[in-house]
Amino acid sequence: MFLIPLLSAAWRPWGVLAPCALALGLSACSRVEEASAGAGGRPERIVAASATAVDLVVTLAGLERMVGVPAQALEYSVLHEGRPEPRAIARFEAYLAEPVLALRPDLVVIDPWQAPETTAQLRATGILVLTLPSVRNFSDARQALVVAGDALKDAELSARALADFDRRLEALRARSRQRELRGLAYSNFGGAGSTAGRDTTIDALFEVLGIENQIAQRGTVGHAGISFEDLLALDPDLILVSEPLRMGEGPSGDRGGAAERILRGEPSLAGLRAVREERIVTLPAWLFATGSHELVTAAEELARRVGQLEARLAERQAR
Amino acid sequence: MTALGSGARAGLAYAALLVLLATASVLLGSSGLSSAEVLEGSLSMLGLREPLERNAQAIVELRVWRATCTLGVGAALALSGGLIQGMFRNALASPSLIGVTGGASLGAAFAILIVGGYAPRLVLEAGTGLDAWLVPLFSFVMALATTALVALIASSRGRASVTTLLLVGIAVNMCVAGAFAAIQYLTLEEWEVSRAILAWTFGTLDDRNGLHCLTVFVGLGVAALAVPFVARELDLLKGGEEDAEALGVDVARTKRIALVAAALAASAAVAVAGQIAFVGLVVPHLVRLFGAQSYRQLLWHTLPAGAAFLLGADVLQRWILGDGALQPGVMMSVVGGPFFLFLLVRSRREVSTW
Repeated sequence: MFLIPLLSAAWRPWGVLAPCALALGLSACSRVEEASAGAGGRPERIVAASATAVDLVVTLAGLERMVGVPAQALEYSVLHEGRPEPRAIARFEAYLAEPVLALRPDLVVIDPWQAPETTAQLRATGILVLTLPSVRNFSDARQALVVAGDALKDAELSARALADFDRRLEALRARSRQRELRGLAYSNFGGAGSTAGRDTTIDALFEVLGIENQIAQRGTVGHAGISFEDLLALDPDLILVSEPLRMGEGPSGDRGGAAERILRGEPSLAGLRAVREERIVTLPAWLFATGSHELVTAAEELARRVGQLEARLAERQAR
Repeated sequence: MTALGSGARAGLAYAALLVLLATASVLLGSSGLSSAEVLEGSLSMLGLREPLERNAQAIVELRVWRATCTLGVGAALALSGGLIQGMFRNALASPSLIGVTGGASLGAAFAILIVGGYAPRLVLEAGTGLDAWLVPLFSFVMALATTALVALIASSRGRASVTTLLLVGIAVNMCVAGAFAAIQYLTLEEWEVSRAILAWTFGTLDDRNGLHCLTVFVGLGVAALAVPFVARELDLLKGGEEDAEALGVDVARTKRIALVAAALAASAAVAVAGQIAFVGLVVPHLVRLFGAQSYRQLLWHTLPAGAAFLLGADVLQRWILGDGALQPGVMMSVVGGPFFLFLLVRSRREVSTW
């Protein structure tokens, strides 16, 4: 219902030209300057434009203040499988100015890689756009909490979220020991395999659990391709893969999970220790891909699953 | 006798070159196996030795399949390029012109979506366990289907003029590219799937196995069977369709056979290795450069020359760049583009007559 007045306004020449001119002028402004422009009041209509943003807004502002999310975030964020139950929050397919403007937000939270031209358009209309820092490790994830907490202006929720993050990370580190496990993450959609090296959230997960990330060890930075030969040569103790999205309950069925099927089904990989000895560890898709403070949830879940694996291996050894 | 020498001498030279390149390819890899281990593992594949330790044997086998697949893909793309250039009577033609590459890309994207779970439950259940095969299968079928569509639309009463075929090819390619771009756009937020689709367009020769090799060599073999039926005819076609017909060439039949053979060879190659540009375009030129001007010579020479070209380029870059080696599609574009320009500049006088 917000679309009609907006569309009619956009047809007038000034409705198009003025935001464009403003966008050009404002796009040079820094994120800090933008943030200070809206520092007057607490944002009440927040659009979280990425899965990371959704995680942060749910934690730091609650669902009540969130008016729009991208459809994809429902699967890759804390809202996966409808938990916690999102009330009638509008969904949009892509981060574009029109669907976001239609939601009349006073704050839009985005990831740093999202379309700068859309951001410029939104800023040109006076909407505060918060660009989150890029998250590659726990320190970045904590920084994202701080930055988002400042912008969302709920000091109590923000302090509670930070304390909770610190406490859980501390607990993980306290329990952490140097495991004698070498591992790597693996994805494959039937084309070519890929993995995660240094400066990735996966590497951070491995590090906090005391697991050696073999891809980072050999100097790979970021995400990279990996061949079957590399897999066989590295012969990891464990391979981390993503679970299918929605576990087959969604409208489109079992989405993903191909990496594990390929690892188990490819004859040339039958000799891999992780395949032979059932050392493929899965993480729910939303945690495997998380780029928010939920990284700590991913670490806890991975610790639990690796613990189960170690217990099973110890039991097998004892027999 | 041409500059390429007599049949036997050229055959021996090609065989020696291919054995040398295949050996180099099998010796190169990220896992640091010794030459002795590689030799032993290779002999074990022939049943002449005991297999190496499990993973080492699997690595050697992967390398052997990779090298074999590369030979087949190079030969198939080059033969397809030769046939297409002959059929279109244009040395700038390549298999992508008839929709092979575009169709294969679209097929691969569909398959990646299915593997990624974007399909009705019935399709997903039917595809369970076929994850590694869906991409080659879909790209092969879609490559052939797209070429068939081009041929069907361009034909009128069983005949298709080269110009119509070219224009229909461009139009169908645009439609297919649009559909492919739409899939890329719709999956932009699903970065893992998006990355997988993008990676396929760079081509890959890694992780190939016996079935991949069988696919490409069956496609190549069937396409090569067509050569004796079209080579002389393509030579006569150089002077124009009317002249060829006056000399007794069944032009429609020749074009049909050449089109089917070229599509089959290129589809098989692209299905197992993804998009690899320039081989189909450049290799026939290289062969011409070495003296094979008639299609009766050129088409046969494209087979070993294409195999040597792709494998040689692959070996060279893996040797120089090591772990930083590029995917074959990227490599061929980076190297093939300037190389093709070089060829054009070298034969500028010939170019001006095109």
